[in-house]
Amino acid sequence: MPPSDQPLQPATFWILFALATGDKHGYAIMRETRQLSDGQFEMGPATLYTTIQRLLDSAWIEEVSGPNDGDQRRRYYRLAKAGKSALQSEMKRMESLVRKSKALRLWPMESKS
Amino acid sequence: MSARIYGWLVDFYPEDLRRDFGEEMVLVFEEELRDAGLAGAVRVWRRALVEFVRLALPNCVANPVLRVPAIMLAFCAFSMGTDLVLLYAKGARARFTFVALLPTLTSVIIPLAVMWACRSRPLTKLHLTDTER
Repeated sequence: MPPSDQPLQPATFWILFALATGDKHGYAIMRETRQLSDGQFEMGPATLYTTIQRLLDSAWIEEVSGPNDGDQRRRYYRLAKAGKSALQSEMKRMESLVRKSKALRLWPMESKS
Repeated sequence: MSARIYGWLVDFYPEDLRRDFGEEMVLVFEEELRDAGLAGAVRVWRRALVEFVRLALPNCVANPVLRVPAIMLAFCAFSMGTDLVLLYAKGARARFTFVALLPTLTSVIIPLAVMWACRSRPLTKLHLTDTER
């Protein structure tokens, strides 16, 4: 995992973001990332689970038990404290970027018409 | 059928990923295909193949048994991709496109079949000493 001052990889960021809205299984994470990014970010099962594996190893997310009536093959994941902190750092970094770009009058971009 | 083919591809991903998440990967792929419908199936498959080249092929190249067919596959996949783009750009007719792609498609299937056959074979089998023989 990158140190907290480094930008997160897109897949890491979107998975953490998706889990910030509640516990989810793999496919629900995939759908949520698509929705949160307005369809700008999409990933396949291999990217999803490679990243989930890395996040579990770093204890940024944790596996939790799902609903009893759900598909037993599914596993559910929850954002852990370390993951929440990493996500907040990333949000702060983005907020700072937007603030600086506004101060430099680079944002919002002027349309050339 | 699509899920079964994807299941075969999952066999080439790193062992720990396959062991811990292989079943879920196939399940997610299946659900994605179902929700995407016929029109979205091409997009889902394209992404799965890009991921295969990006994540599974390097793992195969690292395995000495699979190295040669994996490099062949990467080369043929690149060649086939280029052919497709060129043919599409030239507005080729469907029949011509199929005939032109047939040899390249075959050259992708052969190394893939070799890789699949060798995927779980340990290297030591290829280097048996005289006494072991």
